[in-house]
Amino acid sequence: MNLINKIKNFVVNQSSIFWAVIGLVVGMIIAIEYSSRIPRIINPVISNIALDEMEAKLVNEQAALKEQQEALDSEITDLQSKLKNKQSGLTTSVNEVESLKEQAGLTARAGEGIEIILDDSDKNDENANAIAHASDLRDLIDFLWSRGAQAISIEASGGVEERVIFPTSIDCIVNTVLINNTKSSPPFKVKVIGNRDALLAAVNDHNNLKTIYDRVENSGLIFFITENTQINVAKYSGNLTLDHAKIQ
Amino acid sequence: MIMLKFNKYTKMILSKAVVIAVFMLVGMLAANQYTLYKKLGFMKSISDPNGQALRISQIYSSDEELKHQLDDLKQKRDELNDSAINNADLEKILSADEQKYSILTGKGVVKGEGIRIEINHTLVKTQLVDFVNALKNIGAEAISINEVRIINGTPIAQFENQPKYEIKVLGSKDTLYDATVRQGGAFDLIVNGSAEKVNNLVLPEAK
Repeated sequence: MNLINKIKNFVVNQSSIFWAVIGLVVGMIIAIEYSSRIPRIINPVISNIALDEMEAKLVNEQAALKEQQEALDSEITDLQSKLKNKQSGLTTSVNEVESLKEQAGLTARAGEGIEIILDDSDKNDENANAIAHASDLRDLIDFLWSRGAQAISIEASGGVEERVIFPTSIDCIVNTVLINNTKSSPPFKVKVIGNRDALLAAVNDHNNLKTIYDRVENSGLIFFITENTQINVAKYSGNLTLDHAKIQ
Repeated sequence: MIMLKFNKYTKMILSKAVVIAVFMLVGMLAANQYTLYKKLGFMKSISDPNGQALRISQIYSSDEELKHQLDDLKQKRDELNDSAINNADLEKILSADEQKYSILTGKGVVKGEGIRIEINHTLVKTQLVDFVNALKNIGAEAISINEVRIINGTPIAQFENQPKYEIKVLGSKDTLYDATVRQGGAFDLIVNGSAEKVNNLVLPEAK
């Protein structure tokens, strides 16, 4: 009886804040305990392995096809130049095609510009704001075009470089970015040819890329301009099938 | 009506119990929210078979198109290598190249099948950038927004905050239409609009 009275007195004498804290802690413990249960595998693991193998095979095949295409493209350009010299009537046409190819981003380019690094935070802070997203690249590239960029390419981890041209799409599927349908992962090196001073001023102005700079400050996203002043951008080497559009 | 009568002690104990219960609930919600947030953060390290399958399908179709393109290039190389090739054949090859690259660079008016999209509300920069990106991913061969041709280097943000949009897209009208209007498509995810298939769309040349 004495013990019950002691408990009663203890309960009554403690402030509500004390019990609020106790309630809060117990509630958190229950929720964490519930959500920390070890998950069970539902699907057979072999399907994931098969998908991994298939993806790796297709990625390798894509790289090989692009290499073959680049080699063939160079061969054709050489042949056309030789024919141009042999058959003088073709000079204008060959030159026009070469000029259009350059404008379309189908030839490599070099010149002054800037190089921007975009990468996941190195603080191991696993939140969405600390990760370099496909949408960051899309926004950045559109901004760079608006500030006078003349040619842009994105080099991803492992040296995979993709030129940004009209058909380029940059998408995110789960944890991987696809640039020109090529698997790419951070760090991303965005190479931009154009007036270096103008591009530097535009990119360094935090008001222009506020979403990115806010995440740099608050979540550790990595975003900076390198010291490189001479930029080389690769030529586009992806699909260019035009089956429906015709010149009127 | 039954009225419960409690003494002073019981009332105080009950009020403390209510405080505990309410704050337990708050604690559970807070912890649950935190674990959900962490799970979202870990998304990048989770292996997702559906996402991977989608990625594989994109890379697979890209490889198929590359193979097709390689065959065309091989044929072109062989034709150029053929010593018997005459000026007319060469002109034909060059003309095909010129047409293709002119479409990409916005030289000249282009026509063909595709879809016409109407959006009767204003769009912000990110919506426009994402929508045009989606159209390119679906296979757009040429795009114009409010009669301005989009080419390599055209900033999409210049079209933000306009009262309405007419977007013309050349490409396979069926693929473009389905990928735009179906559930989970571009209209569902990015903008509200309507689309129609057109057999002969005409897009202006780039300025």
